[in-house]
Amino acid sequence: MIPFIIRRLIWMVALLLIISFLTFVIFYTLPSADPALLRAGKQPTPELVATIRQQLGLDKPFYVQYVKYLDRLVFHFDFGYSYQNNVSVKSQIFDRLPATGALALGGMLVWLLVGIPIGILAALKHGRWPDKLAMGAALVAISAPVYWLGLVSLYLFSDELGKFPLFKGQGAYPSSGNIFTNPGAVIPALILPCLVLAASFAAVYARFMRGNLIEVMSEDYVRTARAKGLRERRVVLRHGVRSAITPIVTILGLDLGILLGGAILTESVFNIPGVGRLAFDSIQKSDLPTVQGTVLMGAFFIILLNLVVDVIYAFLDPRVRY
Amino acid sequence: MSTGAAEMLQDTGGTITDGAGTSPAAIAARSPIQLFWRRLRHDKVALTAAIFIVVLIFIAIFAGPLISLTGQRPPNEQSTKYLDSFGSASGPSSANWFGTDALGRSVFSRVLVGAQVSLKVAFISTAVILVIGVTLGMVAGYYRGWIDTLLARTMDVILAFPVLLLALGLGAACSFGNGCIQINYDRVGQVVFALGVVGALATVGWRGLRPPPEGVAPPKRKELALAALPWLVLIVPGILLWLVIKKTTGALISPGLPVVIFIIALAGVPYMARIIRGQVLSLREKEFVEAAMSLGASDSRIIFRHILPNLVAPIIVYTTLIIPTNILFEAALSFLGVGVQPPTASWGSMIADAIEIFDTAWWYMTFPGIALLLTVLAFNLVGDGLQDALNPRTGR
Repeated sequence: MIPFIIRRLIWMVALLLIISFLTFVIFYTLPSADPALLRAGKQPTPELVATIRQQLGLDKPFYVQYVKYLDRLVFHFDFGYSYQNNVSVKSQIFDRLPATGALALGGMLVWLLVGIPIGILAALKHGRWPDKLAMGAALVAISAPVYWLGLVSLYLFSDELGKFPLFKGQGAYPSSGNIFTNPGAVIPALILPCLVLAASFAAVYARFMRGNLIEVMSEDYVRTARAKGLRERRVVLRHGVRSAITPIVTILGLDLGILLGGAILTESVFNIPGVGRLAFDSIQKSDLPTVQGTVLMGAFFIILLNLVVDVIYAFLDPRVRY
Repeated sequence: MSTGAAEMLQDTGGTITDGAGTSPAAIAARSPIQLFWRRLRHDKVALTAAIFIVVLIFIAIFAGPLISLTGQRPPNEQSTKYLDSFGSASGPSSANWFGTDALGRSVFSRVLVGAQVSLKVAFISTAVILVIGVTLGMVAGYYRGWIDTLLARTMDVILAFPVLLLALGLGAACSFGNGCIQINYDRVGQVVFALGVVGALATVGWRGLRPPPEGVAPPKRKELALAALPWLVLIVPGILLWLVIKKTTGALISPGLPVVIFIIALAGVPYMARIIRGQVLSLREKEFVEAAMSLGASDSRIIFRHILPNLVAPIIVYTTLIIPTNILFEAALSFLGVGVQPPTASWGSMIADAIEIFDTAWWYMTFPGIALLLTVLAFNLVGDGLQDALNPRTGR
């Protein structure tokens, strides 16, 4: 187990290096707006642009820039400074991370609490109307784009313009403070986004849970459990659900990893200043250090959670050995 | 094993057939296709969804004539005449069935035209994913070794890369001017053609010159020519690129839809390849492959005649299931501003435009959204139906 984790951690570092290099290469080989020109303001003189270029280190060949970047990143955990406003990329990301984290974790809580019970119920009522209703609804939820669902729910339920003003609307996320410093303003603002974000995930999890449980309930050991006279409730929960829920861990890790890297669509619709918005804006402005930082952070979460999933899985399922 | 996916198509009897009416005497041989069709025919929901998709494809193809037939205005015609007295978007009326957007364009016409973009991107990108993913997956699963490792590692990189960010980056970069990654099509054509010729010659040379194994007659000329045939896959497009397409230079990824298709394919190939690889890994250990090997069948014969037919069912199911994902992906990219260039309508970009006025003009976000929802839903329903019909053992 330990050697496995160490091997995977080494591969993780290698993967992050490859990804940072790729981001650099993609950025320099593709045409894009000149960051120095963008920063120089409305009427740039050639001298000013040249000076800015020198300040940012853009006049050096790109491999020199890359080595410098790596040097700062590896030895000082320094992601550099934004081309646009000189703010440290690290502090920018850490400023934005609580919003994205709260959104993703809140959403996860909702989709697990909604999706898994629905999946269990549908599996137990397999083929009858509650099952058909739940699976029909799930398919609709999977098919609805999250940003559209967001708009519709704002139109119906937000407190500024909604027909049924139940939740805080688009502009409710406070301009300063995060979930730790200002929970009173942040949590209400995140309820509707979390619900919207969770809708399609809940549907996926319900379908997955249902499929697993139906399969498990036809296993021999479930028949044995029934035969020895256990109550149905115990058979379902201890023998059925317990083993059907294990594969959920896999997709949960992957989904959470992707979301922590920024839920761009949900953040856009609800005006939440998260990492996804930061990445989106910095791409529009050719702000390489910020793009690089957000890409690396997104990749980091994806890879890390993959590893965590594999480790947890080995604990949950004793048949798995590394 | 060339009759289709027999493994996946065993008749499960009671679950689908009428049960009571079948007596042992009435048992007749049915081909896998017949079995598949028998099961699908009873799935009313999937059939309805399939009909919806066919209608949608017709709507997309004949969007222009349909719009003039219904008397609605063309999709890109702006007009202040149809705005309300405050100069903002007006709601559904007999002149504009689905209302207008902020520029006075007919939302109805734009929703119809939007189907073109959605379906075009979905089908092309799915086809690309299908071809590349299946090829990579089969090669990795069949040959294993370093090819497999290399593929797996490449997949790791692609899977760990935040796809949406990559999409936005490429979209932003490739939407400038002529697009990105300038290439010389003439030269590419020549290289592809040369590769094909060299490959064909090498195959013929190797087969013809190597000492035949004991007890096997040396290959005849016709056989040699047949062995070189697959290289036409490279030779023909090479010649086409080299001589027929006069355009000498161009961008590999030109602005607009190609960017979107490239990104969707890049994000989708790893998943397809993984699934196929897994299937091939288990299939190559089966007895019928061993039998073919011991009879001296070549690798290509085993791959194409023995393994590929067994992959048909999973490929069909997975392909139908990624089409809706790709439609949603395209819409999301259009929503974020990557994709079709402005006057052209796409459902995603219409919803993005609707954000500005969604509190007053409910119709502008509603109709493109519903069109998108129904389309994706229909493909999902068909996908589920096919899955049930091809693989009845998953107790879905």
